Amino acid sequence: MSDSNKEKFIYELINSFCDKVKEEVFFIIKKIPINLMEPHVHSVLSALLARQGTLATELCRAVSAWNYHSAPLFIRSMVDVHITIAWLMEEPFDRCLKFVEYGLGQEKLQIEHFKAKLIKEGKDPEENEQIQALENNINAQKYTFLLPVELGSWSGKSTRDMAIECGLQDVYNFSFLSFSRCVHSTWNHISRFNSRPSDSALHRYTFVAEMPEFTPDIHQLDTVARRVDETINLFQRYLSLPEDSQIIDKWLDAKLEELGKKYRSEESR
Amino acid sequence: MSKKKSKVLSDHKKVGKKLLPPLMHQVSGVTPSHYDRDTLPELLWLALIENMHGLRVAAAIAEEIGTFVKESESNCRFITITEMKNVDKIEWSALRTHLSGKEMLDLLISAIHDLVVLYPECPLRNLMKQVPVKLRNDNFLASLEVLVADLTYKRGRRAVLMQANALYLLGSQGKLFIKKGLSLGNFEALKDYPDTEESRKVGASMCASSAMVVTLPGNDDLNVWRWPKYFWKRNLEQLPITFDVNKRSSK
Repeated sequence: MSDSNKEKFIYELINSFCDKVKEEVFFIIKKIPINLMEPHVHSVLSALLARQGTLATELCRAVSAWNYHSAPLFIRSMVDVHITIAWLMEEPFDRCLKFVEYGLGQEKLQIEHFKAKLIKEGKDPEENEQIQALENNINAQKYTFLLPVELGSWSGKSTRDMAIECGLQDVYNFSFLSFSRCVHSTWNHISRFNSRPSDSALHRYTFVAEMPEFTPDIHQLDTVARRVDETINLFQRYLSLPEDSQIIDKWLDAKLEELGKKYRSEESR
Repeated sequence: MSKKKSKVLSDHKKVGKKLLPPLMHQVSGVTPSHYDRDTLPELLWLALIENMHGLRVAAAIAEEIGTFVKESESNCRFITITEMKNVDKIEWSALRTHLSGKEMLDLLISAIHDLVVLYPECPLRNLMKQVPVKLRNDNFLASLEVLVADLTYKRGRRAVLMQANALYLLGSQGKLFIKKGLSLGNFEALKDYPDTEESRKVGASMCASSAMVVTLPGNDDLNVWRWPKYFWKRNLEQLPITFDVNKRSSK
């Protein structure tokens, strides 16, 4: 395939993929019942699903990030979102409320740190417009003087415990943990992707730093598709919709074949 | 019959938030030794002799040095390069005379000559009346790299023979007593290493015992000159590490 057709292939693939993800995500979001007596359930679950879609489309558009340096940063977040959604769905009313309160409490804590910094600099926090805007944002949802600040994890549990509780231990062990090494830049990641053993025994084959640039790997997109599918499948069960655990993955396979044929046949003309 | 679900790392012991492997929690007071960092450079001179002259000559030289140490009641065992640092001129002279009398001095010097040229702080320079400055083999560094690569594999033939020679040297001084029948005493079998079972048993004993030969008091003292530290540092001076700044990969 010529370079020009490869570019067109990728451009069309990215746009179609993003459209497909949005289509499937909003299909589900529109099915989530809205109860204005407990709006936090709908708000949190739909926003998290939208977040999943955003993570997928953002990575899809960043072709240069389709590699083991960068894709896991997104994908691990997607696994985190997936586990969070699964856990919330077990007891949506209480847990979604906890989720909202935690987020607002963290904002409140951040504002207090900001205020303390201003005071240290001899400035008056009451006169800072940014602080006022941030506080107004919180107060619009819950008064700050009635908002507790949780210092531990938002759920009171580790991600691992949340995953086990929802029957997602394999997801945690094989997806969350394996992508975490990229997120945290632990030795088992950087020794493989930012290091290589020296060629010489006289250097004790010591690890030597490097910054290799990788060509885009379409398998990363496949991984993203499967992550979105997993989450959509959660909602299908939650909402008692017909289940299809491979909507986007199957679509992607078909799309790749379609575009491959299209651009190859163009070249053969 | 129901199968018990196997627990991951079930043989590990949980201590706090750590899972300790069996060797760490069943055997206490174990201090790891560093074969490639310490043992290899300390005994490298023995490997150079074997590399150049073969096993028989290397063993003969080791035996003769051992005999010298025993007869002269020397404080130095002449096994690790580090311990040779503190040997005085009189003793070096006596060793030279002893080896010369057995027609072994030139053999030994030929093996370590270029090592001394490239690593001028090496105490083995005292085997020569005048410290050499010119290499006999211009490709010595490259061949040394190949030898060290070979020796890095602790159970490889070269490495096992090197470790065995160190123990043989110790035995020749009357400082190593081996119970009859133990594999450690059957040095002769090593000529077939690793092709026979007996040689592999003997080789395993050598590997297990070599650390005790190299571990000396003050090894961890950063202020004391140690050959391994000098050796690795000097390697970086002679062969700087290069960085591939523009590496591209299809990973």
